[in-house]
Amino acid sequence: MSNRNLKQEFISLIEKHQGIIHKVSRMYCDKEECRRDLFQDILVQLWQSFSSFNHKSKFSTWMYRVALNTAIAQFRKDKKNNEDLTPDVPVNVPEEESFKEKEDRINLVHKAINKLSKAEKAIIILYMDDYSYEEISEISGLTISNVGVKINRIKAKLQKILKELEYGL
Amino acid sequence: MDFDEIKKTWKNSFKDDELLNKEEIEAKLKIKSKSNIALGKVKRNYKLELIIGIGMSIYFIIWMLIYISDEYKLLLSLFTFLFFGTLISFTWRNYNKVRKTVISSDQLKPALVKTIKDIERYVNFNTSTFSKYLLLPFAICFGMFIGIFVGVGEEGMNAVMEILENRIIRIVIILVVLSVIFIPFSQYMTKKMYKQHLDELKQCLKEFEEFED
Repeated sequence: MSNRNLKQEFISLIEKHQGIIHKVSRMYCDKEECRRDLFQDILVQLWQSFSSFNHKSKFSTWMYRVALNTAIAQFRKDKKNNEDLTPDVPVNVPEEESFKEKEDRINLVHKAINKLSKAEKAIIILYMDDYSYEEISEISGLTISNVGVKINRIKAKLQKILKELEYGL
Repeated sequence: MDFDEIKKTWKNSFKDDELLNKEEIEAKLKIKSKSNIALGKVKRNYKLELIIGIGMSIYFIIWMLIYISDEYKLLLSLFTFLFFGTLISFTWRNYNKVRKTVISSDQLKPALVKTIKDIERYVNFNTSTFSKYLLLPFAICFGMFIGIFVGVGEEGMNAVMEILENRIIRIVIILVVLSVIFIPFSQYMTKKMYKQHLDELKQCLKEFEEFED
């Protein structure tokens, strides 16, 4: 396949699955600038690694691996700000709640997620994106039973953090 | 908030209007941005060291060929070439190992092990005994030697030898003082740039290993 065709195939696949890059960038960066940089880094890394994609696994699975590996390996410039952040997250919420309440809830969830470690974020993002334990195992390299145990722990931790944030503990 | 609610809220926080079309994706691929990942930084530093090393060696050799007397210019140029050649070849060897490396599409843990190894190779070289106690003092000696040569001007090698003989203690003291200042400084800079990040990655790897316990 010529480089031009390869690039077109890549761009089509990215257009279809770009939500993964947005989710990973949001998960690992609280600030807009950091998110933009990480998005760019992931996109470039995906393109540079595309020739190694062997079509044996699903594209989305392969994409998640590269995206998470890039996010984990990034330098965090804004570490100090992470402790006290109100993420500048664009919102898209159901209509029945007041805008302010929904915005607060989304910010709270992102703030809680941001307090997880890099490894925990990698597992929970896959779970929240409705990946099965088998798929999470395939991406992370953990055994299926370990994935189950770890997800339960992270869920409990996340709920605890949320409770602390809600009640200002 | 139960977990289903957390999940729903998280999913709802992504807007469709953030999605890029094909043209925008292609445009982003054309942007030559500075990568913020560790491997990108290591590659950039190797490149910078190579450019500086090659530039300095060319500058010194040309300078010697023009200003040093015929008697010593060949010897000193050869000496300079060997010094910078060794330095550049070490840097090139290490750079060559990472220059075509891209972020792995392996599973997270093996990919992390590989990333740590790549960064450690860079840090280890800069913090090695060879680099600390041989390369750096040698570079200082070289700089001092060139300085003396510039200082004596037309008087040539005899004047240089005279200075070395008469002021050897002073020269050794300067060498020791400069080494005492520059060795910790270079170690501090390497650690500042990479150590903290390396520790973070190792902590992450440790977590993945603990997941398996």
